[in-house]
Amino acid sequence: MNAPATTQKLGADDIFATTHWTVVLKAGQGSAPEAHAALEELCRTYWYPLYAYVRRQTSSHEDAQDLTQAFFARFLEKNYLEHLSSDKGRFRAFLLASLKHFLANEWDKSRRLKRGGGVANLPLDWQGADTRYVHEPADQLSPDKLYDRAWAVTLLENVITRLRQEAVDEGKTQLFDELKAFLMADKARVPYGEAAGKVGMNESAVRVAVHRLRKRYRELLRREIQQTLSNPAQVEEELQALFAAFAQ
Amino acid sequence: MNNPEPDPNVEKKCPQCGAALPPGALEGLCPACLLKQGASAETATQGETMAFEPPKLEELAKLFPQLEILELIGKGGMGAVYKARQPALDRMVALKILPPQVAAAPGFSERFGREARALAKLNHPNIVGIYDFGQVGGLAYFLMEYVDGLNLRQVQRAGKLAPSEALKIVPQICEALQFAHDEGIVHRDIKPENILLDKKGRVKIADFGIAKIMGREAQYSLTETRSAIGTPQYMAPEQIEKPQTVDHRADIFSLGVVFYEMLTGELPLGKFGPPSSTARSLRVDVRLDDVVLRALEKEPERRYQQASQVKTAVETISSTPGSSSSAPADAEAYRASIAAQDYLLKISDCLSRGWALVRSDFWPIIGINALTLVLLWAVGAFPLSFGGKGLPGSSILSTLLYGPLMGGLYYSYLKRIRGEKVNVETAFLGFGPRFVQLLLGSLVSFCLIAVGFLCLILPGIYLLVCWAYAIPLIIDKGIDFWPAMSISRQMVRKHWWKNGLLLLVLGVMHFVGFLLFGVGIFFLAPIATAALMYAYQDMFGSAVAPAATGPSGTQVFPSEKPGSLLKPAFIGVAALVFLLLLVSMFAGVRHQHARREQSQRAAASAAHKATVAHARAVAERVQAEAEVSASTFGPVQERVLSGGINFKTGKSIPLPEPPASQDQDIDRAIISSLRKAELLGIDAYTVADEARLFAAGGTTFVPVTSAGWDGVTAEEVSTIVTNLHAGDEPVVVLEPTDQPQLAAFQTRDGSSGLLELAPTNREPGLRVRYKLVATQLKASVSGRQMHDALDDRLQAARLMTLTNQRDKAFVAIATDAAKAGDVEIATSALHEISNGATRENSAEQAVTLLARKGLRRDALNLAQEISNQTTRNRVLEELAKAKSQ
Repeated sequence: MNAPATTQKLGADDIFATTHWTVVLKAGQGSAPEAHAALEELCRTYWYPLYAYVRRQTSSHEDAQDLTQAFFARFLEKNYLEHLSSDKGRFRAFLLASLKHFLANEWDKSRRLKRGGGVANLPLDWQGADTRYVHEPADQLSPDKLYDRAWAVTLLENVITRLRQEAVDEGKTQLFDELKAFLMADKARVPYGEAAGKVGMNESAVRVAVHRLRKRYRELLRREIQQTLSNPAQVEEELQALFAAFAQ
Repeated sequence: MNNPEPDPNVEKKCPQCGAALPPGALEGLCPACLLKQGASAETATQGETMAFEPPKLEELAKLFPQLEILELIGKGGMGAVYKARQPALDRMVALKILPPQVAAAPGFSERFGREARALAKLNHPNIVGIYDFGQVGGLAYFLMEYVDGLNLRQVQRAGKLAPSEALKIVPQICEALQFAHDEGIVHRDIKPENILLDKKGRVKIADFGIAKIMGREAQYSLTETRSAIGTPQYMAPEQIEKPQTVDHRADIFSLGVVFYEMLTGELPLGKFGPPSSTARSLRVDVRLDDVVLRALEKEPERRYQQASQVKTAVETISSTPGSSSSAPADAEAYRASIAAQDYLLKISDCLSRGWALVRSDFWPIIGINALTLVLLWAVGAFPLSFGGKGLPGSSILSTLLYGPLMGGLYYSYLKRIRGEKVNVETAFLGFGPRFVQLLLGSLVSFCLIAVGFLCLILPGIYLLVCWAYAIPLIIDKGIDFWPAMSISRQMVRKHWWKNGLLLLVLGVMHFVGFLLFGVGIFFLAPIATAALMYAYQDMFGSAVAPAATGPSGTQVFPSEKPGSLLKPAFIGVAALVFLLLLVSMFAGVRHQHARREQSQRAAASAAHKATVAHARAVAERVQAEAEVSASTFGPVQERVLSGGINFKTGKSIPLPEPPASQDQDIDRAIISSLRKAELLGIDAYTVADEARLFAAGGTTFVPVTSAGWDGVTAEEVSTIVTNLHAGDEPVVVLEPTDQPQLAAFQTRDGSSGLLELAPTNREPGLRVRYKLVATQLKASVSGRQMHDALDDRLQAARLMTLTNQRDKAFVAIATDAAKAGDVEIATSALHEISNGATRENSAEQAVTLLARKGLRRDALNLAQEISNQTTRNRVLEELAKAKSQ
């Protein structure tokens, strides 16, 4: 009868009834493969903030690497889920709490994890992480705040990457590059005319494009955050918390 | 601003918020600002997108060098339309530009291409054709057929739309829709603005499938402008609520809305009434209500499923006259025109034509007719006589419904006669508007005819014939009931007798049909009705009464409605009803039959019972008389035993020592009563007799508790004994106790008596004494009396019908006769016994008794007659033995 509608490239982005984190929480003690996969996915995404935190505490890169790796190995065994009584509503907070717990109780600073011992390690870019860390401006931030900021940046990076990918798929890479700056700016201050000239489009077209981009950005951002929440309705809170990390 | 070199020495700060920028990350964007932006609510950016500025002509000219852009002719959420000229082909075209936000949507290009190609395939006179499409300069465009005219909205506003015109427009829309649906394309945005009418009155539908191209986002986003989505008032409910489930039926809904608006000038919002009822629509045919309302059903399943169905419905309505909206037909004018005419009424001709008509479309006609008849019958008036009109006196309801029902039926026949297509759905269509008139007509005429019948019948018949055509006139010509009746009478009077004869014939047909188990009526009634309608047609013609206006009809192509399930279902139901009637009729007959039989049998058995009772009474009386003579006891026999006896088994309770006395013999005899005793030849009571008397198994005892030895009379003993039934064993174990025990007993040969056991002083000791009821006394009754009594009993027994009882009675008679020595009666009785075995036994017994009585010769003779050899031998042997004793 009717021609089937185009399957949206981002069809998979329909809000899942369950986010990664809820999948994990639901699985609990049971070893459902989806739960494990979800947890791994989360860890793989947000490992850098952890590393940054750890790096802050330790002096050497190797130590930080060891520690982080050991922690993840331990964490992925999923015993943490039942041991900690902390609020499991947000993955971000939970991860940090778990790490602290780990550092306090289980990690003997004198010991080092045998390289290549037993546990499958997450394939993480340690070197790149270190570089990045090193280049971050030194500051007086508390480790917690550092962690949060790193988290926010990681999050945003993911979102932007996605947006870019979408634009590339649409064949609108150049447009995206031109317009992405407008993601931040206030409406009033966007130089539409200028941009129009650059992309060779009608000004109103540019307006519309910017509007769409922003909308899409917001959607993706929220989605991304929701993956780390047990209750998707808490997005706003989380956003505020993250934003607060940048307050001076 | 791409990929800045990480320079640890330079702290980058965000120009907006001043926060430090993490180097190398986020492509130089400031996370704080991003977050802020992310956290901000979706503010109304309508101001930006609302102003869809249609590109200026100069801009377009640059983009479309091959066209001469002339002017902007339309603007809306769906884009802007320009009139242009294509010099190459020297034709006028329409250029439609889609809004940029649409073009910018993800996945748009793909969709656009695909949809446009599909649309280009829609080549139909009622659809605006697509010439070209594409994207240029960020703008998506269509190049389309240019329609020189107005859209429906403009026409409506100008007030230039009459209902009849609406009825011409809608079928064209349906055709366009059906064509597109067949190609798998749904319009989704049918509204007056999209329906164009060119100067020639042709309908052209524009913007097919545009809604789909705009994509889901355009439709569902509620923050976008309203015009970006389909205009909600025309959208089907499922388009708003469940957009994924939308199919072609949404278009039918939108069509319904448009139709409604065309007819009434209003939108069907909230609680709305049918088109014919809204104030403005004085000229709306009430039959259109159903069509419009069905198209406007909220559930897609309940709507028309195909646009072509709507088209057929509308065209059917516009082609058939008889709309109630018109001014009532001018009856007088009609009367004048018709009164002058004369006609020829040929009864046989009408009948043969009627038969031909029925045969031509046999089962549907039978079905419709059957249904009407059943309905009438169900409300209590089975038409019994002339021409389908029932005699007055049926229930009120039937009288009320008769007119409308028959009116509809007549009308369907008329349509067939006139060659118009009749199907189930439209069979009864016509009668709706004339309902009241039909009702009144039938009611009034019934009442007056009833009055006529009351007054010596003849006026009733007269009126009946005169008004035979009133109902068809009401429904066919649209005349009111009173003038219809009068016109009918006028015309009939010209040839009253002929009409009367016709109605008589038709009535006879109905009656005959009814007689044939009601089956025939389903076949004869249609023929009769058809014949009547032919007569009507001949008399009144098919000319429409003047001043009856209906919408000017378009050409009617009686198309086969696809998959109409009603017709076979209808026939099925009619057949079922028919069968049920048949079955019930047969069942009723059978029931009657069964009941009659039952009552007969009851009577017979009652009679039988009476006879039996009588016979028994006689027999009993006789018996009683025979025994009423006082009976006494014979001499008392007394013995003393030193032990107890079990009279049932005959076993003794051991004696310590047998006393040496003459009594010993008796003791021994009694004790040894295990042996079967010889029972023949009892002349006197001897010891031997006693032994025989108490032979085991032969004697039954019944304990007697009342009175004492002297208190119990012989009669009582007899009574007790006679009440013994065969098979009962009220046997007593008589054992020595402290108290004397009394028992009445009966021996095998019929002697009865009273027995007493009492303890003695002698230890152990038991005194036995007994006395027999003297049967001699019966012998004291004169032989003659006895014979008569027995004879009466014989007569009585012969009266009995039930064999068992008869046989029993005869056995008893034979026995008694033998006892009494009455050979004659005994023999007769024996002969009457039907059961062979019983007869043998009874004969044996009789022989025995006779022998005992001493009538050996007779006994012998009787014995000779026993047919069973074994029995005979035995009996003879015994006889011989007795003799030898």
